[in-house]
Amino acid sequence: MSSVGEGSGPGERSDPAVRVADLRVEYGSTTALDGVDVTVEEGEFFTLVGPSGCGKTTTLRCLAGFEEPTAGSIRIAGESMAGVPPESRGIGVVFQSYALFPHMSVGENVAYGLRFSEPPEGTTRDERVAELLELVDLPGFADRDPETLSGGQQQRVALARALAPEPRLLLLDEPMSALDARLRERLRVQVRAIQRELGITTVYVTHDQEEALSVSDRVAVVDDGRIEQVARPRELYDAPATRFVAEFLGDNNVFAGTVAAAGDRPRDAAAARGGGDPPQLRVDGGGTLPLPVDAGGGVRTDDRLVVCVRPELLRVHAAGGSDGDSGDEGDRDRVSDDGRTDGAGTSLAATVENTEFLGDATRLYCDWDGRDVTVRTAGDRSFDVGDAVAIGVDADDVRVVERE
Amino acid sequence: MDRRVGAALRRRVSDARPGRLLRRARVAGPAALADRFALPLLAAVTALLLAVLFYYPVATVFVDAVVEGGRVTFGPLVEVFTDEFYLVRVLGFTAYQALLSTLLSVLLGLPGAWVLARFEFRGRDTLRSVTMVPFVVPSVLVAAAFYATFGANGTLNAALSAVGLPELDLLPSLGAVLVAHAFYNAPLVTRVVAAAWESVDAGAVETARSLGASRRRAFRDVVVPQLLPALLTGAALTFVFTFATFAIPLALGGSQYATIEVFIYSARRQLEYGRAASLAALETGVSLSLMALYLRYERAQAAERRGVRTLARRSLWPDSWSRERAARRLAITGYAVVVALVFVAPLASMLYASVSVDGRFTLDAYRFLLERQATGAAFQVKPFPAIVNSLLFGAAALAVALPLGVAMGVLTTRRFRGRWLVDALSMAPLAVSGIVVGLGLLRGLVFGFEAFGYRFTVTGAVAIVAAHAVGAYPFVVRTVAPPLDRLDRALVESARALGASRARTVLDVELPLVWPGVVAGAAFAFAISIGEFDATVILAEGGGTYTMPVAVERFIGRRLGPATAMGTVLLAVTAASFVVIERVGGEFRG
Repeated sequence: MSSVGEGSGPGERSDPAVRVADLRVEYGSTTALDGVDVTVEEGEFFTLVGPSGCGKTTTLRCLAGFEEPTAGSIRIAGESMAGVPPESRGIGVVFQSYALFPHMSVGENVAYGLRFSEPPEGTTRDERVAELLELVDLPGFADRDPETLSGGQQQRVALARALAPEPRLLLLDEPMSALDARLRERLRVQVRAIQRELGITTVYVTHDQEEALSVSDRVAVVDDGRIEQVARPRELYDAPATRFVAEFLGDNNVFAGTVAAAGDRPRDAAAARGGGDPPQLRVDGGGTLPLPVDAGGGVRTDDRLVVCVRPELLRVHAAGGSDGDSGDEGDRDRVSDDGRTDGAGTSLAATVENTEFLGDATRLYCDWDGRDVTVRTAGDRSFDVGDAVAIGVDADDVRVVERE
Repeated sequence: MDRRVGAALRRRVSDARPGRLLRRARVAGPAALADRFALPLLAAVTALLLAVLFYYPVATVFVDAVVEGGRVTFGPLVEVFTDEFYLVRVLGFTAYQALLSTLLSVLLGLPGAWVLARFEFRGRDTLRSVTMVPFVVPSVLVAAAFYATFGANGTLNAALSAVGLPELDLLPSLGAVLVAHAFYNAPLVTRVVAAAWESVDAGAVETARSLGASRRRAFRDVVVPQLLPALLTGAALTFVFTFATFAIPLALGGSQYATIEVFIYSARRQLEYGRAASLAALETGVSLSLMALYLRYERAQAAERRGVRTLARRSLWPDSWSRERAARRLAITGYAVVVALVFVAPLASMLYASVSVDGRFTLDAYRFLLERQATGAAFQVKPFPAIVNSLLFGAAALAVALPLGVAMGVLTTRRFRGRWLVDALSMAPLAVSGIVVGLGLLRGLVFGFEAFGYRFTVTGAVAIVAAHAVGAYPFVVRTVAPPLDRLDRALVESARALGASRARTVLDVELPLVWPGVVAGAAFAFAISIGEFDATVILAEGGGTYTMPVAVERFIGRRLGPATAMGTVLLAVTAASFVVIERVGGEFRG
């Protein structure tokens, strides 16, 4: 572990801001982190998201030096952090509980880190404090008692305090979780703006997938001590790499099944028209789903697949007549509009089991021969529990997430 | 170490990198390194101090039990263990009186827990805090108070003769010893049971009721199982404390009702150290086993419950009366009378006796305390030096016990392997009686030991301060550790991330936030030192280092006035300590 600055010297341009390699943390016989690899680039807003107990906070605590990894290495700006105590790592940390020192004023809190490091050249400590309070939009709060502040204000003070000594890495551990939903949204916009302004490398831990998607440059989805996928938010949402990611980020419909040769269902108009043999998935428990042509590359008949379709990509119609009939009118329109004529469509005959009005949309929980299918529809058409519906699925909207 | 300095230097180089938006200068160097090792150093110093002040002296007692004249001999030990007198009369009686004391304490304490937990009335909170008083009341004070009340010239006999009834001869008696023990331990039972009762979730009781349980049944099935562990805790602690009782049987029991500690003391007075050590080893063995059993049990019970809705309290004066309600209030009234007799009457009698002679008001007793008592033989206990000694020893013991206790509190709230051992070792002084500690200090340090070719000895005064510090610091630990433990871990980690070293975090963040606990701990430590009798009397024997409690004990039965006057002074000091503890808002996990 005595590898300080070993190999490439610190400070070289090529060093990423943070490089975590094969990080393992074990508590007795339980494994909290099972080989985590993460690279965060300079200035990046990087988020670790996952359910509670997945290891995201443990990873952050290892970065901060609050926890000693069982194995693996952590490098910040190229320097090994092995044996480096938290106070020498050049980090700023913001906790869910704010952790403002209750026996100090707001100003003293912000100035605390400046007891151990010089303020930036040309500024005094007091100026630095004022500057930071300005930055978090709390000018003139220096003399206030932290306990008289609201939760959101306290969290901004905590952010100012963490930033005052100019850390090279900002670590945010569920900083919004104790705040109410509306405030959370406002604050995360503010945090993101400040992060951009300072260009500070930030590692953010949250269990809230919406938060992760909305603020991050890149997101790592963590489950059970392992990283499932690291990607930009949109890619993560559109092309989840694993079943877990598909189910964890946003609503999703996930199905497992076996690839069947096209032509199993000759009645499917789109498939017939497309010529060729677009692949289909015979879903476990009955019924088929279309597969996108580009998924066909590696897909062979009898392969086992897990696929997903986002609820907002499904279209729902009142069931009329035979399966996949009138409702497919819309399908065809959309297919041609998008120019994706090579895709095939299917209609699923389902029953509405429950409805949720969401304001800008309605969520329908449907039963498709014993499988649950969730549909999010923005249309003004309302459905009742027990209604028979046809759910239109476009081949291009079906994502293959896993091959077994 | 070099590596760290190197890393720090390199970091500064990398921070100076041009074009870097964020930069961080670091203070490094020898000071920072010293800072990093401050906590391990603290642990080492604490361990060393405990070893010298406590473990070594107590170990010498055990060695004394088996070594005589430089030769290993099990003579005294065998004698003690085979002699029917020691096993039955001494050990048997000690356990017997402890059992009776425990029963009486539970009997007297349990209704108090019920009243405190289930009824709302003015002064409830005050009454609740007053249950903490026995922790700081010197045992000798209780003895003096009982003498003033039930002694031959006490207020009880005065009252009886005033109404023409025959006077009673109540002292010495086993009954007096038991009631005095109950004076101490019933409030302890009240405290722990009331705390458990108040943490019963009203929702659980209501659930049981909604499932069809009657009120009585719900009480039996839901409340009682939650009270039993607390009751057992109170009873176990009472047994341990009363097993190691000394001052009370010495003053109130006479020779018929002497416990093992009294025998150890008399063996020491007769300079029979081998016998004293054997008895002490026996007693400490029993006490430590009981304490270990208790701690194991406590650990098993240690699930902390939070955020429960407590059972609603009823008014002591109900809006409407029923037969049952009236009966309960009558019972409470009866209980209040008993409480007044046991707790208030003795203290009131002591105050009265200190300012009166034959029913006449006089301050002679206090005047006596302030006189240096020019007359009298050199071996006699003089009152004024006792007061001065007490205050000096109290201040010195505080100066040792407070840093020791705070350091221990800081160390025991760290998470590390083997913490339970540190916990146990640091709390051991609570389970080893003052007599044994005193004996050990006498044999180990006052008589001296040889090392590096020198003979080290300390004076009796230093040994007394050591004994007081050892007796007092667990109380500091117990007032400082809980708030430290409850401190948000993120506070400490924030300070670390901002650049503070571990030791610096203790000074900047942790100590300021648990300051009330530190002050309360200091008050506790001072009160314990002022009231300490057991070790002091062992160490002060024949010297000029006696304290107020020793003086009170000497005066009891001879000069009731001065005994009660000095008792009153002691009471004032301990009451002041109690007020500090209560006002500063310290809490005690006892």
